[in-house]
Amino acid sequence: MTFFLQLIVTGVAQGMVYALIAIGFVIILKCSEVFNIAQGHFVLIGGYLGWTFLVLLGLPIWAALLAAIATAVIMGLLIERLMLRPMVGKPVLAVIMMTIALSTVLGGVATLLWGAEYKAYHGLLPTIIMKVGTISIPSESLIGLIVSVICVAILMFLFRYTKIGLAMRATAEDLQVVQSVGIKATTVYAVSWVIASVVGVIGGILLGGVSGANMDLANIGLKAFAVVLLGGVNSVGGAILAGIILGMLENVAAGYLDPILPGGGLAQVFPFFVMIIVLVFRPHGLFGLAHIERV
Amino acid sequence: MGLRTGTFHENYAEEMATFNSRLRWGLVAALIVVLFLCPFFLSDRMLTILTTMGIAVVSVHGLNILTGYCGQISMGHSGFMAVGGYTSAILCAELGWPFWAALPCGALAAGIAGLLFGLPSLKIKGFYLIMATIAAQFIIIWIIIQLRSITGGTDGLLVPKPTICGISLTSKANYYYLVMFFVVLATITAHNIVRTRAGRAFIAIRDNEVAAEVMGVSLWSYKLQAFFIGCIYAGAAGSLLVHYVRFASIEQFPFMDSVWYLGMLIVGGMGSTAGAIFGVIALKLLDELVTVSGPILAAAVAPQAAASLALISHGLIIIIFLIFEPRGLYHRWEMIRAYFRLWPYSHEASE
Amino acid sequence: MYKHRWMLAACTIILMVMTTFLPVSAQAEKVLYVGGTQSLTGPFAEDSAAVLAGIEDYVAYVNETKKLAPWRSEKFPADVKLEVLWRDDELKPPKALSIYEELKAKGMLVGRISGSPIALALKDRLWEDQMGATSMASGSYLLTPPQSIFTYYPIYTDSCAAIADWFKANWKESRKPRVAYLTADNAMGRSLEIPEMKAYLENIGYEFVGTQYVPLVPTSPPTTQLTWLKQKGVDLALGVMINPGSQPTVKEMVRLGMGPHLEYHMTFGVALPGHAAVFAEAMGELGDGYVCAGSFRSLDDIATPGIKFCSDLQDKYRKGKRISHIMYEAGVLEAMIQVEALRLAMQKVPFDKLTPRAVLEEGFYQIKNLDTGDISSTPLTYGKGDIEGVDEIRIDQVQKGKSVKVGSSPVRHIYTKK
Repeated sequence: MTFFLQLIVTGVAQGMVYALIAIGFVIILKCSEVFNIAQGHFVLIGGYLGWTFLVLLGLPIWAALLAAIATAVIMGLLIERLMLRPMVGKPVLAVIMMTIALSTVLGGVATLLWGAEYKAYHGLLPTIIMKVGTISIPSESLIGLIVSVICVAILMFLFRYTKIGLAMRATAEDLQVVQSVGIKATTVYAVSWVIASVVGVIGGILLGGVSGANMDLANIGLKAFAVVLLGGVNSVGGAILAGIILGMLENVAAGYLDPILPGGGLAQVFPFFVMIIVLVFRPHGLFGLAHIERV
Repeated sequence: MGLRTGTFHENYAEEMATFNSRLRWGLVAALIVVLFLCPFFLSDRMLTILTTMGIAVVSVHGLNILTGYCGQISMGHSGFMAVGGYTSAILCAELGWPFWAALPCGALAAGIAGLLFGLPSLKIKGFYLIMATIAAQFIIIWIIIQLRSITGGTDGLLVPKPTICGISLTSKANYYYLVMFFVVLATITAHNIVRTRAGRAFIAIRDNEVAAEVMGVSLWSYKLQAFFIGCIYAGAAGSLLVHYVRFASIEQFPFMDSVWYLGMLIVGGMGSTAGAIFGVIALKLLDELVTVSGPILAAAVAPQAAASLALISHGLIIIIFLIFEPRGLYHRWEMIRAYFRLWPYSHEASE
Repeated sequence: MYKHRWMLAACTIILMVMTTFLPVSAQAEKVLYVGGTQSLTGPFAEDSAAVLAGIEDYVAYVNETKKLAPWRSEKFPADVKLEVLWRDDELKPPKALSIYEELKAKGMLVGRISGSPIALALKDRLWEDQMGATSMASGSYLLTPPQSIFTYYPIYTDSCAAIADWFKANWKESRKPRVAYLTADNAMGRSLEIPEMKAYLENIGYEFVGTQYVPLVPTSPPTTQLTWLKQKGVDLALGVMINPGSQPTVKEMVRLGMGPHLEYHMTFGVALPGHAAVFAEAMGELGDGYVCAGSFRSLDDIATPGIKFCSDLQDKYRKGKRISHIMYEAGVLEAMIQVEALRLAMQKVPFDKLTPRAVLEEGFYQIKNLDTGDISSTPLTYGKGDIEGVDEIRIDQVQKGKSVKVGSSPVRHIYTKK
């Protein structure tokens, strides 16, 4: 039983980080119909930014966070203006290839700046061991949970009560109508990329605190896609719930099946099984809207 | 595109002919002859590069049928190559099959895997299909790791030296001939498949799925056919690769390769046989350039500059093509040909 | 303007292609090449970069002084110049093949292996060409059969056996200690899983429990795997991991209260690429109790002549850009072996008759008791069929945030050569 509860707790904590990354993806998708494969690479950059500001420059954690967010804003704006703006109205494959190319370039930039090295910053985020009964709750996961909840709350507020949030929701609904009432779609796109990049970078700093900054952080982006598909591609709330579900399922499945399987490593591939199952049986996910196509 | 002066299509057969003039026949024949004479004047290194290019060409032809013609975007092509590669490796290494029999079986196995993972394509398209094929890539690799007793898991599998009819294919020249044979075969079949009934159905599906279905094209049947055919090419290429390295390992089939095969299609020009070849040549040359210039850059700047060069240059080339040349090198090639065909009276050029 | 752009693009492409295939210009000097493939991209990027720096500095030293090391009296032939030749293979076997052909065509007489996948792709080809190579990877596959790839640290199974020996010697309780593998999920990590290894462990009095895999570079803490070990009551976990894998693993262990000095007593030991010195520096006291076998000495250990040499090399050739990664020592060591093989071959064979085979037979095979100034755990000896250079394995443990030598054990040769 302890083992099971431990798996659940770890899973929830992990799922929150997935959710955080998935949110960035969903926001871009909602506003601009762009599937951003490079979301995982924002996480990668975030991990290294965390190291740069916390260890290399020795900033206190709040200053490091602010500096990282500022960098993320600039990064998001640049990417939108230089790479995605020319792609408005192009076919799906072209846009996706563009985000893939973006992911490679981001990976290259990370290699260039940080030498693809493993940068650990273990001691910086506090490592208290919280215990509930026999189950230990990793403090990083707890911090991750809090940060994720705060991010989601801010985003919800943004979408509900601000003008730009309203514009973003409207753009997601109908681009032509939005343009006809005088909202600049390009501003909306830019804001959505900035949000995605900031969310990704925050996720990166959280993950960097757990496993150190390294080139493989980007792979978590692929897992986040499973979360997105499970939750429904256009539902922010769905992404959060799906993140937690996937985190738990993944951990439980790996915990019980890995010792039986000859090769193990189920946790790495589990999200992809979920992805296939969702796509075959419920392509619009748990909370997404079904899509009807007309000629 | 216009025809060469003096070439006329007087009947249906001429309209449908692959080569509409003697000159083109001659050029293609000459090209094939030159390809097969290469080992006599090229160095081992050039042969190695051409062999890997050839293997990629076979694979990209498959992807071109699937993505370029049928519009079903696959980002798991390297996974399907792994199915073909491992199947033929296992047949050779564990069951002692001859190479010539193992290769088609590998291709067939990849085709069947393609059918299986192509099933979701009946319900989904665009981004969702990309996700499904990415999942296919990772699941295939994971299954290979699980089947440790026959695939060797992450240790990989040593493959015996390939022979055909008693001729050992271990020498670079012999293997080069084998690969080039497959390249020619793949190019001819790929070029012809798209001119058949199925090929026209693929294009109809790509251009508008709903319209195609209304016109009586069975989506179910033709999408799966596209997956099957595309993955057969992948399987053959995977098998060729594994027997070339003489060792099968999951590191040979990374996810990023799947992405670069699509990149090759974009650079070369989607939906044309020549485009697939152009794309492979362009990106592989870029690869070689990056490898060679790495040490120079490392000495001049820093080792990490060399390491990042591969990633950044590949990313940038795709970005540049997407923004400035979305129809690929093949389109540009046709434009240049049309220009010179009409030169010096280029103002008459019409498209 | 439009036309010009295309002319420009065409010219650039032609220029690119030409530079790619430009042959090396014929040089009047006698030049020998050292180096080989590197993996500057991928999980071994960090190690490779440090190795490359080591090779470059050692070659610069030999070219300048014509000495082989401060403690050696032999001289390198004065009229021969050494040059470093390397390419980045991105850890992709097909790429390594084309690089191998290129370097061979340029007249390289020795090879280099940068990782397990590359080793498996090149092993047979090196043997067919009778070319000797040094290797950063040292899995058991190098012994099936032993060919022309030489290692300067013991293969992973022998390293883990050394940890098992050391742990057993310090075992106080009366029951049998329980051992499990906690290893990286790739060819390197799984090279432990041979029947001989299990048999050896059971033979010296362990109870074998099972295996858990951690991704080579985990993106989430391996809580599941560790909880499993805890449930099974494992006393010693053995593995082959690189630092990006072992650091989060140990961190999670501490959090779960697992460690030699924590409430649940378990020792975690890894074979070489885990680098005790790198580990200790990054983890500090958090990493106490971590054991690493076959590790290189810390770069601060100036009292050792070999480390002093490395430090001097860095002072001389790498001002302001010192490499702090321990694999710098491996780079110096690899260059030492390659240069020694070339030097020995040149004593027997005239310079213009040098072939890869000559360097293998008159060079690598003749390396006996090569004094490395204690960079490697013992002097290196190679021969036909003897590809493991050292015959003793050093065991380090992290204590109070510092890497401390706690013992050494002879190489057990667990893996039976086939």
